[in-house]
Amino acid sequence: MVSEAVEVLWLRVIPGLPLLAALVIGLPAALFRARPSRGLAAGVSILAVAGSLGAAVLAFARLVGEESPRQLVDLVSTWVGVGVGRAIFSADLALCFDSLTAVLVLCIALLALLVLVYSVGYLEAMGRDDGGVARYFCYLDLAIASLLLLVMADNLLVLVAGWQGAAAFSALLVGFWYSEEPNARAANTSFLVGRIGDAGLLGATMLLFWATSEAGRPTVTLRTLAEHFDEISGLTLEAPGGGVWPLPVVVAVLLLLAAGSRCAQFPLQVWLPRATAAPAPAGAYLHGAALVGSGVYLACRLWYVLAAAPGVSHAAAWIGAATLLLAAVFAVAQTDLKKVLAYATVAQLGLVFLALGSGAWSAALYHLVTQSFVLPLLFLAAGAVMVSLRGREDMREMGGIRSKLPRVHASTWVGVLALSGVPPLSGFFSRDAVLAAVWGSELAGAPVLWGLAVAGTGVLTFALFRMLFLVFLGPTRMPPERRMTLRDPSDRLVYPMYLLWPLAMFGWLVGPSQFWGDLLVGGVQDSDSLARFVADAVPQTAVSAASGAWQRVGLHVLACLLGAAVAVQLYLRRPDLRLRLTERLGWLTRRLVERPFVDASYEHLVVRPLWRGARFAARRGIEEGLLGRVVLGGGARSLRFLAERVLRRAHDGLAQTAMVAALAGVVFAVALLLAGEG
Amino acid sequence: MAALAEWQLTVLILAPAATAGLLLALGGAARLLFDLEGLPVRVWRAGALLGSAVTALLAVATWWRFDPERSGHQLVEHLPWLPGLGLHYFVGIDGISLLMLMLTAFLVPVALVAVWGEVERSPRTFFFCVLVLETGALGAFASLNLFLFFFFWQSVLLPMTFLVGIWGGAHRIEAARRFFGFASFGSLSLLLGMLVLYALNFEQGGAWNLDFVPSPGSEALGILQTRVPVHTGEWWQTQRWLFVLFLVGFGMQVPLVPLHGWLADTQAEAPTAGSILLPVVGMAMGAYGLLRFVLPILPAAAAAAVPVMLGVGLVGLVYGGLLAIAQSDVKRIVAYGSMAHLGLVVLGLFSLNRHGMTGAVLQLVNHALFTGALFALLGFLVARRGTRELDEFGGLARPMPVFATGLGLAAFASLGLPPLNGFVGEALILLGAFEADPWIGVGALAGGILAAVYLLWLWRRVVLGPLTRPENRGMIDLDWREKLVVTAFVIPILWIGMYPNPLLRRIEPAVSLLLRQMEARVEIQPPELPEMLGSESAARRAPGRGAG
Repeated sequence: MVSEAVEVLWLRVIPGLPLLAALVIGLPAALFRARPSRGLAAGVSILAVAGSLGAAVLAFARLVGEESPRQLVDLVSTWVGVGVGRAIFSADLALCFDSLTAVLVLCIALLALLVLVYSVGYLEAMGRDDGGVARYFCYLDLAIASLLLLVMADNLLVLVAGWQGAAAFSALLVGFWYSEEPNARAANTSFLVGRIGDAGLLGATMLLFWATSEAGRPTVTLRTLAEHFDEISGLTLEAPGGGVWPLPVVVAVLLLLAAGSRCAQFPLQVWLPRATAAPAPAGAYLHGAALVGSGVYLACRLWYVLAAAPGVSHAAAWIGAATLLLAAVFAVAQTDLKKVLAYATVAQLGLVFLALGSGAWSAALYHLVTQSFVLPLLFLAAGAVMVSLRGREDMREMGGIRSKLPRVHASTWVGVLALSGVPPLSGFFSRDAVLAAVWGSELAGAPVLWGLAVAGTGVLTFALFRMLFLVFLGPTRMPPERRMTLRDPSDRLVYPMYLLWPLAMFGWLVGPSQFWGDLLVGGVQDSDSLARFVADAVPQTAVSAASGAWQRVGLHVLACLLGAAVAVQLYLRRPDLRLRLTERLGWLTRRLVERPFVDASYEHLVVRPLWRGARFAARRGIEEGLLGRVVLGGGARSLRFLAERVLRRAHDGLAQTAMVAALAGVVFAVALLLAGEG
Repeated sequence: MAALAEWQLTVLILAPAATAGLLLALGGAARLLFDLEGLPVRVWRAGALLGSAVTALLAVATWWRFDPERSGHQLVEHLPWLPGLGLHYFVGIDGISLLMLMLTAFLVPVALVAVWGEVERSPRTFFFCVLVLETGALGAFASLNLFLFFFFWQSVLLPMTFLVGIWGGAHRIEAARRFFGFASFGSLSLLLGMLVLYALNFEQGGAWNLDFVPSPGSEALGILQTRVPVHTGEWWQTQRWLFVLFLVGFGMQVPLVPLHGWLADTQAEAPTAGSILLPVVGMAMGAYGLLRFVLPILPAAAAAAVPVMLGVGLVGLVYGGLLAIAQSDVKRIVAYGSMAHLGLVVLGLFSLNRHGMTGAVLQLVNHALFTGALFALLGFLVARRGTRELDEFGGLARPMPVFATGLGLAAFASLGLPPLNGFVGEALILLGAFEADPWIGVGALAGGILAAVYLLWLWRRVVLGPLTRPENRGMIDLDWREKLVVTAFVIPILWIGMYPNPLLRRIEPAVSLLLRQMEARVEIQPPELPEMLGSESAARRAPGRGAG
């Protein structure tokens, strides 16, 4: 039996309020062209999300007071129900609020609030109204509502709904400034890559339902699945070519596909750098934290499937490590400010994937939570820079704007330091939790994975400092007239960033591992409070305080310091050295920037073959050729032949022909009769 | 009033044709008495809309009278026609028919509003054709006599051919010829199959009869009780042969994969009203025929054909998607897309379990709604620009924001995004496919990605991007009439997506009755049939995928 969960009827308020706000803003605009002003649209959205956040805090307080397993549920309405008895498929619009959900809901709602405030100033400053303010807030509210629905879903079908909704609204926001062709294309790409993941998730859902109904307990409810997964983990699928696949392996592969496309893991990372076409605050929120985090949520929510397929999670770990290193290298080669951040996001997600693959679920979650405030801070700072530069993103045209934009400069420092893992800031502790888990894991090749990850963080640190120096320090590369018009962004852009500062710096306090807890002032017992809190949904990472902890930390810090030092050397002290180096390595960066080879291979391996196949099917090959010309044309020709040569002869109007035909008919009839007699 | 209640279904079926007849008669009177050329076009238009609106209201009344808790056919009405030959007027509905009736009755007035003042060539004939077509479709969905079904079916094909051939685009004659050629070939096949069944039924029951179930007060054997041999007897009397005949006949309309040659031409050239109606009066009717007649009458052949038919569905899904990707004509993209959708429906039907079949029926409704919405919107666009070439558009979101929103919604519904209606149907079909064969399900999922490719391609190329063509700069957004049409589509799209249970509650009993009927014809079932019928049976676990 499912353990009884407490029913709390107002949980629906949490995703409901942003949805309501979207309707209030969107419907009049769609139906009557009554466009709300920027202030009104933003006000409604902010109020709604603040309400969501308040409700989430209340729910959190309620949850803390509950007995284990702590779950609050809210059955909003029935949704899809087909079948009876053992074949019943029923998925209701039901919400569940447990510890894992609580953590993510709080992050999503809090960040959404800050981003909405920032959006007001951003849209105003970009001055590209496009009559799109209502559209912007409507899409963003719907994205927020979808994400909240996703993490609060009680069953897989609702989760799928939130999952796909979030991706769709994210794609719409990527294409928000649709009149520019690249933006429209980027929106398309991000939706299509997401679609691959959607198929994976839907497939996993269907397979889990199939398996549970085979086992006599048909369900897609997550709580039931978690409790009874061991009953179906032994099922197998017969492969078409012979051979047998264990069910958890197939489901885990599909889940990995879903989470991998959402978290922009190799080779599905192509969409995230292009998604920077979205307005900065929306990008900061969705592509820096909330949307990509939903992939991690999925993996944590269904951790037991991945845990039952060790081979697949092992592959995930390798994919994560490879993505981390690759994305860090790509980040170094970018000249576009937002693309650097996009690749930094991909790299961080690679690290999270590495943690997931090593079975360090709570470490993955911890890193996700701390990064959820750091990356948006950087994205917002980048947005503020762009606002000041009137939409320019090319770092080669920046430099030396520190004095003009002191507040943005300081915010970027905070972000870069926190992200690259300078010890008292949050990036360090959460990353260390992941690295410690890999260090201590039993995976084959764990040392190599660890090494890759540390190397990746080193390169990433270099990339981040490079970005910082290129944008703010050094000599300016701007034409003087543009330098004159440079203005400090408004307070509405800056204050949300200030609010992110403490979160970015000290977010790690939500639960450092016991290793660090012991070292804190006086030694804190049970310092890994986050992992403990979510323990009834996600197993705790057992990090052995194994030997070599200090070597581990030392090497990690060393790699980061090295990255930072190289950046200082190349971009501040010895620009001449850098110039010579770029000259030498120009071909490499060109490959990485102008036509990243991954994009090129997509073009060659996926897009063109699909296109050619489609054209072949439609034109020469099948549709017009085989079916059209051969079958249909042949049929028509033979009919015409019959009509012209045979039937026309019979109807030439001559009496003798008619007589012959009549005679033949009589003979035929008589023959038929005789045959019948005989 | 009592008579109306007693003959409600008949009134519903005949209302459109009666409207057409009345308008024709009034026209004759006007010509005789007032020396007019006929009734003014305005009167025809208003009369046609009124007639179809009344039909829609009658359909709603039928929805209220229909009891979803009862299984079997309801509102059965019977009238001997040629009793010696067993050709009765015999109608009645179950949940599946009910939905199809509702859908038809809903779409016709919407289609009429969509083309409101735009019919220039002999508009009176146009409205006449649409009304006759509606009666044909309603009658076919309610028929409980195979011959009556065939009769109504034929009375859809001819007006549809005229709609394409007279009011279509530049290549309308060719398209109409193609449509009619395919349709008559299919009808011939259907007729042959029907005759064989007729003969078999006579041999066994001693009376000529083509009633689906024995009609009230009749001794004759319904075709549902006709034994169609599996292995014994003449080759042309076996289930397999009959299955092929019926499959070709109905599959031509669905269209199943190698029989789809007419679809894109017809849909591209058809006037907007024709494009909106064809998904229900043509495609859905073909699928309905498979469901209503083929599956219960020929269960053994159907069950034996499951692997083939799942393959046909999957190929339709993938091949239709590929063809859609390669098109440069906006209407052809949607037409091939709808072929892909019907591939998915076939997949659901032949998964032979509750989930798949319920989803397939629901998806027929959904498909008619979102495809109708897409064709309506594209029709508005083509009416403004006079071209269907994709390259001629681009950036229309700026001058036509409402159009852009509508097209986006319809496209997203079509590619199965929750909470729009396509998602629920697709999910149920996939569920059924996974139960039938998990690998087919995986294939269908992968094929479904293609839908996103061509629909997003369409959306991006038409609506997004820069406004490159000067002709597009001054485009006027949808007016209130067009908005009304779009709203009429959007409301059920959203409603079914968020609250499909009222529909599912009506489909499912019909589907489970159908599965029971298939099982009940036990004397002819091959040994694996109970297993293929899955959900109901006890012995359902296939070897090899049981608990390990």
